[in-house]
Amino acid sequence: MLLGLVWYQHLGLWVAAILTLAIFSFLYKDNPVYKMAEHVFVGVAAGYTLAYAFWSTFIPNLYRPLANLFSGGEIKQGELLWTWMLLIPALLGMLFFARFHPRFGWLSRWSIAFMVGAFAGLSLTGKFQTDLILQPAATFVNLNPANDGGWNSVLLINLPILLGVLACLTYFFFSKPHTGFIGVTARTGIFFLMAAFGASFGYTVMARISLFIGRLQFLFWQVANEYTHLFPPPT
Amino acid sequence: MRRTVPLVITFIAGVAMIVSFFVNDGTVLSVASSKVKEWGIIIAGFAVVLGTGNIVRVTLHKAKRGEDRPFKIVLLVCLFATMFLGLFFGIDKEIRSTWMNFGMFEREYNPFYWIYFNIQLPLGATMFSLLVFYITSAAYRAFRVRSIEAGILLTTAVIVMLGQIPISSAIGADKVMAWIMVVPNVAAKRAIFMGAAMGIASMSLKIILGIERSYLGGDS
Repeated sequence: MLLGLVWYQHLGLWVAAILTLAIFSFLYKDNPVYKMAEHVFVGVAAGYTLAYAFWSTFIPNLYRPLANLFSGGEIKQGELLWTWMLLIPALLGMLFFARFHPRFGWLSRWSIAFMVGAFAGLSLTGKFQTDLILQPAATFVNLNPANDGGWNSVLLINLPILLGVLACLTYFFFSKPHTGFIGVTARTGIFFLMAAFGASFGYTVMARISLFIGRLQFLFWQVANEYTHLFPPPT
Repeated sequence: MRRTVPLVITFIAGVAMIVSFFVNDGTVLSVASSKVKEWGIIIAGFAVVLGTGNIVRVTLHKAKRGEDRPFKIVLLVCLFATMFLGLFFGIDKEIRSTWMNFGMFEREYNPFYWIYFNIQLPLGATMFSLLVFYITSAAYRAFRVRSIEAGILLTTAVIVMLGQIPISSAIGADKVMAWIMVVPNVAAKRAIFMGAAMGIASMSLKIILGIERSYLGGDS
């Protein structure tokens, strides 16, 4: 133990600090140190994703049920057939690797077809429910001030949202030329869209600044202060 | 075989997902559709393996050609080290007994977690934080108040940024920012989402019914 940390925590601080500075070195210009850190990141991220998929997907959903089946372990009533049928996704999953064989590459389409079909089915119902039912339901609310929140709520929130959604939808409606009343409404829609894009931009910038501050706090408060005690975090 | 079977698989998978949304009463139909949903998770796991294999293949190919060879070797070493440590020790902070290490290292600090905490996490955060410099300089060069629309964009961006700093309440920017986020932002996003949802829903229907089949490749 040194300075209250065990050796692998010290090593972790040094590695994290050096890699952080290596990434920041790109602010000067592209350089080998940055490239090294970049490749470390890609390698570690790919390895992490695979290990995570192994333990969170294959082991609980495929390996354990099949291992139970073949080792004569306990299987819930009515699950026997479904456990046998797990061989179907296992086979479909394996077919992904047929891509690497020039003669049998077409077999990988079966797995892709399953993924695409499943995602299409999920998107169809999911998008209908959330974006085509719940969003309009939240937009077209009762504008009677006696109901909820009074005039303030109606004039500052509910009514502008309703008019904004209608204006933006008018802007996205291209079957009619944007002239006259439709033109004015579409232009109002553009104003709403620009406000939203500006808000998204401002939010993204601040999120990145927050991350940057976090990295500086790590470098000064955690790493530099650990060894020099010159940069104590505010209490 | 090459054309019809994938279309049938797409149809069955798509319909199963739709059925699992509507039928959830323990009948054979609902159990079958939820099982097909689980199959999707398993097959997606194999897709991750395929993706990793592809990274290895492309990286090896580039390394063989001598393109940034030392960096490619670093990438492969990091990938395999992280992968094997994860497969062997598990993904928790402390090592639990797994079928691979037979409980040999139980309750020790997991080296896979060390890699995640000291390499992946700081690298990811730093990579994204780096963007602040480029996004700001790009905005400085691109944003010019030449029209009302550009003025609105710039004004809302500045207010939202001001609204998140400590002095925001003193200058009232926090309240204006809250209104911008709740009213114009929500209105525009709702319209965008509604339009996108209609497109996604119609495309999904075309895929399930086999009208759209470009995902099967050129000769389909």
